Amino acid sequence: MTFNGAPILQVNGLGKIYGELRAAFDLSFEVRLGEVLGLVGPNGAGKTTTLRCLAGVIPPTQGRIQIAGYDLLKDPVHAKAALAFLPDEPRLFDYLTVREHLNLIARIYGVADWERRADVLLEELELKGKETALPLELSRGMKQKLSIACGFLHEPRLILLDEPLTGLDPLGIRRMKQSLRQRAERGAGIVLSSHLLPLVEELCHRILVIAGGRIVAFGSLDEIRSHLSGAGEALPGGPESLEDVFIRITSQSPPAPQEKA
Amino acid sequence: MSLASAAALIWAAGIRNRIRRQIQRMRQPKYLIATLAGAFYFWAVLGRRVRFSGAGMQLPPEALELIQVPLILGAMISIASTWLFGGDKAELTFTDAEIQFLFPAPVTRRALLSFRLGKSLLRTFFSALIMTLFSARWMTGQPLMFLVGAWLCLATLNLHLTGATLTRAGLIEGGRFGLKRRLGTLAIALAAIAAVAWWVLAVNKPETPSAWSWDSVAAWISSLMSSPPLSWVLFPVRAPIRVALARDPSTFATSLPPALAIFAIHYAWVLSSNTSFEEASVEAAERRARALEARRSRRGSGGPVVKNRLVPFHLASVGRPEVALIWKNLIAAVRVSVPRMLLFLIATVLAGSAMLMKRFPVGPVLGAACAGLVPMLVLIAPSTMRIDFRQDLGQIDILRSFPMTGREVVRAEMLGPGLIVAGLQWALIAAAFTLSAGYPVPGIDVFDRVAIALSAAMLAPALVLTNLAIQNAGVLLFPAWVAFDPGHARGIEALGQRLLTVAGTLVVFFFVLLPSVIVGGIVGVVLRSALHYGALLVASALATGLIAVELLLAIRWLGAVFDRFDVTAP
Repeated sequence: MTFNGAPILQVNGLGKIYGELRAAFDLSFEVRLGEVLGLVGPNGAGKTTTLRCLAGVIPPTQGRIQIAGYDLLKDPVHAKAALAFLPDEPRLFDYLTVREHLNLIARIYGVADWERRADVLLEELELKGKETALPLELSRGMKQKLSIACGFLHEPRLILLDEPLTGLDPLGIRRMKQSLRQRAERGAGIVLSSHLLPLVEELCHRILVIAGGRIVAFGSLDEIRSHLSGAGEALPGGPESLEDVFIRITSQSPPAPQEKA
Repeated sequence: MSLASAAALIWAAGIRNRIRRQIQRMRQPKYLIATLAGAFYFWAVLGRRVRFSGAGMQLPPEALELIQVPLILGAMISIASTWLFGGDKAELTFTDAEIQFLFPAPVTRRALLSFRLGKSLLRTFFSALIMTLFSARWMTGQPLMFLVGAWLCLATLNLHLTGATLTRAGLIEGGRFGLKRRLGTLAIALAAIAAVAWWVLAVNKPETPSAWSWDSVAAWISSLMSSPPLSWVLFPVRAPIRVALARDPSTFATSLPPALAIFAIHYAWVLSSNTSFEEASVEAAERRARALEARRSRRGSGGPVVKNRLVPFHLASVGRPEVALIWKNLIAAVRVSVPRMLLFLIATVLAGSAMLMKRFPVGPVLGAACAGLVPMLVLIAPSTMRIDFRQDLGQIDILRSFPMTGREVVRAEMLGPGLIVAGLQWALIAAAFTLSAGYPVPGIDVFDRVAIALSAAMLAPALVLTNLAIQNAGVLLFPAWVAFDPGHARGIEALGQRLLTVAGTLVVFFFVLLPSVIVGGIVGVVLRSALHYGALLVASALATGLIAVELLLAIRWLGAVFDRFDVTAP
């Protein structure tokens, strides 16, 4: 699938080393406006590390990240203003109410009409009536929804999500999927990291499979399938699911060396 | 694999891995230095006093008799309170991992209970070892016998309390320990205490207090505890204590068998319990996990969140983003980190000054108290008002994803507590000035007073911000030292970290202030003859200016540190 939108995220040669451990190595890819990119890989593959580097939470050891044309290392403020990062565990401030969280985010991102947007988000995420609740009065799923509301408040052009459905109920999952689709249709670029492969298959236009910190497959599911069949590895029967493809790729790819060279 | 061998594996691997992890951590100089500092402190304060045996002052035998009294009383009180007021559920302490792996494992309840008892007995052994290190020499001079006795005391008491918890919960579960029976038990216990008190005062009357001496009181207590029926009641409690206090092998040999028998009876009693402890233990573990999670998410910030909805000011949606963080931290000051210690300090100083009001006029006394509080706040407030990076360490990845420069974030984090303390200081300075205004002091006119007040009003906040900068630099440079996590430092290393933090703060504070003190001092001395107290104002302004420059440089540097901060670093 080809996207004509401008690239919102460009990653070139991204690497991250922790002491002796190479968590990410020479990752290069781009995400265009309107595109949903799935980031998948086995446990310890480097997905969370990659997302944290993309969000500017941790500095990469090497490589270049550009968000909305701004270099994340050289011009972090403009780059970060375009993105929202939703970690797997909602990180909330214990002492701020639901609405105060949104007020804080509005000021930090300079959202002038935040109250109107906040009302829409609170309605959409079923947080209406919980505006004055503190996080300790919310369930795990509600906290996750508040974290999502904070992420979406400033209408980010790039959304980075790490296991976004954790803790959500079935209705919440359906709404979240609709919301992500709508945001992509409205032009946001999305990077979605998840172990829920059916979700990735359903939502993502392209998939980046990493293992041992390296890219082992990249493209649309069809492209990855045809690449595998071109290599004479096609299985008999109908088209493989992402799960089948993922298992084939990760089981056949020798784990990349993780120790620093 | 039996549960016994699994337990041995868990304990051995746990101890080995903890030591290995500690050694690995010590490869990093900051952890090595902290461990060495903690070990040195431990040795300097306590270790030098540790001796196992040999020459030295030992308690006379009469004193050992007296020492038994609080020990027996303590044991009896904890036994009675467990029986009378203990929980209604059979809660035994298991870790989350033990619950996850051992509860569903194919092992009997009794094996699980044995595992739990084994763990408690091991723990009591370490407690006994510590007691031996610090007490054996001056109490009996017989460390090995003391160790065995101390362990028997703690282990038997522990078994009894566990047995009481299980028995009590079993009775309640079976509906055999309702309110009437509880009140009945309480009445019997009170009657027994009254009977013992009557027996002591009427039958075994002590001498009149004027005739008391160490020897006579010890002899009276000894005869009291050896006379039936009290001796029968106290026998199970005294037997292991006798082992611990044995001064010679023959006393030890005669005391040991009854103490071991009591221990064995308790062990068998606990193991024979059929009370279901699993559900209550799981609930207790979940409560502990929730409490731990809550503490971890608020690491460094202290107490629970107060459910009020006060906000310091309306936060407009556009403007400088730092204001949002300051607003957030001011809310935290009210809802989390209510500066109780500061309020307590202020209340104490003011109450203390009230005692002087009988002899001196109220105004100057209160004024002096207010003035005295200002420098105290410089040192104490930044340590207690932790509404900055110390509180936000758990959310630092979110702070890092905000479109703000590191400098902006650092500035905002410091200004939250800084504004509160500065406000307090200015209020105190104004109060001191006003309260003492009507009382003349020789050689100081009203202009001098204004100069002194303005000097203090300039310098005090600058000093507080300096202290806050040091505290926050500590968080950004040594995040693991302020992290609340079971995987992080404990014991000697944590002690060393705290010592180094306090010492480091004072040293850095001294060197940061040195240029301002020198420049301000010289200017003050030079101008003093011409400007009198006006020189203090000029010197303070210069010193404040220098501190401000240092703070700006520090914020710039800390901003860069924040920009490079690795949230995954240990």
